[in-house]
Amino acid sequence: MKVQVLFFASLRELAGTHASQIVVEDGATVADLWGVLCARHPAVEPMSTSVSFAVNQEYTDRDHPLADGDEVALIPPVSGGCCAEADTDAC
Amino acid sequence: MSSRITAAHIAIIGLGGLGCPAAAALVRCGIGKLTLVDPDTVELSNLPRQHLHTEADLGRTKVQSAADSLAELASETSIATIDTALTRENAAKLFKLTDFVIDATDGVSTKLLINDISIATGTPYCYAGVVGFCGQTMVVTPDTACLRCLFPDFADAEEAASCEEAGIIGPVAGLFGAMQAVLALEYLTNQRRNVGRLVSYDGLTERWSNISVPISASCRGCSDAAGQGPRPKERTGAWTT
Ligand SMILES: [Zn+2]
Repeated sequence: MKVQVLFFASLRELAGTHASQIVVEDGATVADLWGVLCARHPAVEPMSTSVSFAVNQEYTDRDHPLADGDEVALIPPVSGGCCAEADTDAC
Repeated sequence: MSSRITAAHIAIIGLGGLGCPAAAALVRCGIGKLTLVDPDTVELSNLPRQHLHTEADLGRTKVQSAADSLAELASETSIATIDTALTRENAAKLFKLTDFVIDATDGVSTKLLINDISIATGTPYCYAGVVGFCGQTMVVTPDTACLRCLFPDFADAEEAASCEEAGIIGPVAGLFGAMQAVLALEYLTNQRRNVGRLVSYDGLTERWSNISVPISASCRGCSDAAGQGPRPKERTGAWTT
């Protein structure tokens, strides 16, 4: 089955794309999809523990089973807001 | 104007790229009282996106500079300032006196502190973060998921995040600061369709996302499992409807 993956913020940069159609096996979960994405875009792998997932605009756990045609948004936390300098320092 | 707005007391933590537009919008809407919290002084590099500060304010505390600018926008709002860093102690004292808190800070540790003290005191607040052309925001209340429900490993996230876009695009911070003011006004006027929902924006794809976030049973911040007992639902000192 096919799902539509949307990458937000730093994940968009790391993946080098903002959206991608991914084929996963029937019965695949969000965690399985993340495994496929890490193989395809190894740069996203360091975000494994911090990324959150939304399927069809609903926040979901990693063991959530996917269905054909699902839209999966990958959302990393964003912490900046006050001073650009502090963000640069954090890098 | 709604008496819920003119009677409300909002604390704004951070008077930078998010806090300046949020404060200006709230003052122009006639909010009753603002308490501004920021330990920093105004630097030249702040001026492009922190519109309450000018060259004449260089070296002054951000809270005093912002308070003076806000007083010129609208004198009806009472403004208090705290020019020290937020701590567990002063946050708990302040949050108990306020109806709503705006997290306009930088950095994970202060964001988690605001989250945890808001839960402990039963005070609703609005989280926001911006980087590059991206931003996200969510209103957390005693009845909704919290920042730790949303990002259980937020504390680890800073190192993992890519820094190619390091820095903030001023208008994106302006957009999210204004949204924080909108969300605060929605909350105060009992329009709560957006509470507990994460709103994200990516300017480079012009894409918005709005997702509902469930309370996590294993959340270290807000669930009974955290050993804090039930979250407080009733608050003292809050405005009444
Ligand atoms: Zn929580």
